[in-house]
Amino acid sequence: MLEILEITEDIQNSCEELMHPDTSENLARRNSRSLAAMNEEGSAEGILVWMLKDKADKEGSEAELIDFKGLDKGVMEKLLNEYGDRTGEDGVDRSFFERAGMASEDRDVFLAAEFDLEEKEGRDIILDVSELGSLKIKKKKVPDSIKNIGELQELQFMQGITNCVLHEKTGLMDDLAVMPRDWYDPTVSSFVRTDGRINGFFLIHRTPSGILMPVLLTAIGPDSRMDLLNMLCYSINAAINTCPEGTKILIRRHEEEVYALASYLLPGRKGETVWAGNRTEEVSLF
Amino acid sequence: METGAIGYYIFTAVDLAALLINLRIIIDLKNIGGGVFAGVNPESRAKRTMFLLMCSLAMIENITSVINDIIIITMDIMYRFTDSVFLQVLQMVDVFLSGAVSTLLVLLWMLFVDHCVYKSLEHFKKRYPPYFVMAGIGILISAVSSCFTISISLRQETTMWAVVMVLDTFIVLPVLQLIFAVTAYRIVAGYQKERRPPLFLRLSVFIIPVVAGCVIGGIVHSSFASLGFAIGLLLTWKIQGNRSRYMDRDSGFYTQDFLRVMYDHLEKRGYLNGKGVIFSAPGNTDALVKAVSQLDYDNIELFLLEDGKVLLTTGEQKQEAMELIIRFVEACASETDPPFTVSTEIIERGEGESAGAFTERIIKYECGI
Repeated sequence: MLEILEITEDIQNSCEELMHPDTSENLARRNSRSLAAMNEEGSAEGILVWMLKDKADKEGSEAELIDFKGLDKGVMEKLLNEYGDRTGEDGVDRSFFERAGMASEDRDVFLAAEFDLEEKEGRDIILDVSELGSLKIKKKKVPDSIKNIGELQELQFMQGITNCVLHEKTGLMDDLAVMPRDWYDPTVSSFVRTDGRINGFFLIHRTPSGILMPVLLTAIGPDSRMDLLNMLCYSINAAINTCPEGTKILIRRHEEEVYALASYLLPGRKGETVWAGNRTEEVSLF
Repeated sequence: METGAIGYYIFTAVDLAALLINLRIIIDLKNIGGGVFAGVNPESRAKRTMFLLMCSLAMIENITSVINDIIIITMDIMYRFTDSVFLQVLQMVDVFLSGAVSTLLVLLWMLFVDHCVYKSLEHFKKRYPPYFVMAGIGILISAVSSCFTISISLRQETTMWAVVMVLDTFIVLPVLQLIFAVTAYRIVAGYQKERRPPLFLRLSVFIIPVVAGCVIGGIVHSSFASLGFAIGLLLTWKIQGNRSRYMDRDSGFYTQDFLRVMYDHLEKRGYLNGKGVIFSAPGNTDALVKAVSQLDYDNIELFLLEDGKVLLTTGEQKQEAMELIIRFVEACASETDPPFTVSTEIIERGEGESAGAFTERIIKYECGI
């Protein structure tokens, strides 16, 4: 008999062997939700982790399935059934995911759960830090107003984050307002200061498996375009100088602007082929 | 007395009028400038300095023109030199000075507009050096061209005279002025796209008199352009003066009286409004103002209410944004020496609640610690 439970600290350890190494750090985040299928012996037979995301038009929210695994089809079906109920409570009106190398059994389960599946180029591009050296952009001289976030005091960081949140610039971080400075790599993440105020960030998260993932690139104010470019140059230079060879960088092209920037920086570079799933959810009103 | 000389009596009167207007603004700036450009921060001082510089430049041009006019009139009375080459040279000097000063005035006005919107001196240093270079080159071309014209004029080769006049005075500098004016217009248009409080800066009160003055000045005499600039500066000064009624001089925050004005303004423009945070720290108002002022971003309005409470308003923000604001101010308060306690409350306009009723509710709001 399987029991579907929310993943809490009590059962997290038994779930971790089914999870991707970079998933567990997300479990404590405010917009994260997770389920585990636990057997009578207290072992996990399946997990499903998703993140709630605000929609651009502010009406409703979306859920991205960031990790799922079941030891058999029946487990995944049970997890997806429970998932449907939970997302309804959170007002989610669309679910989606992208996964490379999805097994045919998993595809069958998702199709049965009324997900539309499509094989296409994924939004993520992964490159090695050594490839940054071939970007022309890295040679640019960066002004003194750009520094790494390690040089910021906690209050200054908070002030800058407030500026971003008030301008609705949150990048991949829907919970930007509550995430601590430690979440971001202090050496390669950068900020811009104008007239004593923090007016922009290029925040990069280092995952437990050591992958660098840019999560926010934004600048606010009259010189924002130039500031964006300068922060980009600064962080690229910092990564080249401080990260050991073999360090991977994951660029998630989650919106048109990032797609355009990635095409400019890495012309011709394609993402891995993935299975993309989509489902419209029913929002429960009570 | 010839007809041409009678015109110079009129031009002198126009120049004198422009001079008096500029003098009046400078006297006001000296006496009450600190009130109009409220706040003790460097930004307010920069705005005041820019305005003073604009009026001083305009006055220098007025004085030169008046002296020029008086010389011409005197020479006409004494020697009947109205049509002489000397007169043409004087006219040329006057036209050059007027064009150069007008260009610098529009450049300064553009900077003033930029500063009203962005309040950033660092931004000036980054963005505007090319504009200064453009103005410098324009004025240099005009100066060289004027010298060339004068030399031709002295040799009485009047055919070329007119051609060069057109090139330097009626093309190079007006084109630069147009570039600066359009830049200023775009800065303000960008500002007004988003939800913003009144800027106390109406471009039309400067542009209309200046354009009218320049057109009449181009056809009749440059003294009308000077008058146009003087009127434009005076009206801008008057409108900026309205701002001082709603600003707390020390903090640079808006006063309680401005609350209703701002809500009415936002409502008329169709912006969403009606959410804010009230902070209260009895006995520590100055420290509270210092903490909250660190959040003086362009989409935030800060008010110092009469009982020492501080109100921060912003557009339709999510709850977590408001909570972040509160956490930031509380963190500032705890790191202040000595630390103080802040009482905070998120306040939201009720459905169907008028701007006036909401304002009254904010004013009467009791924040308990």
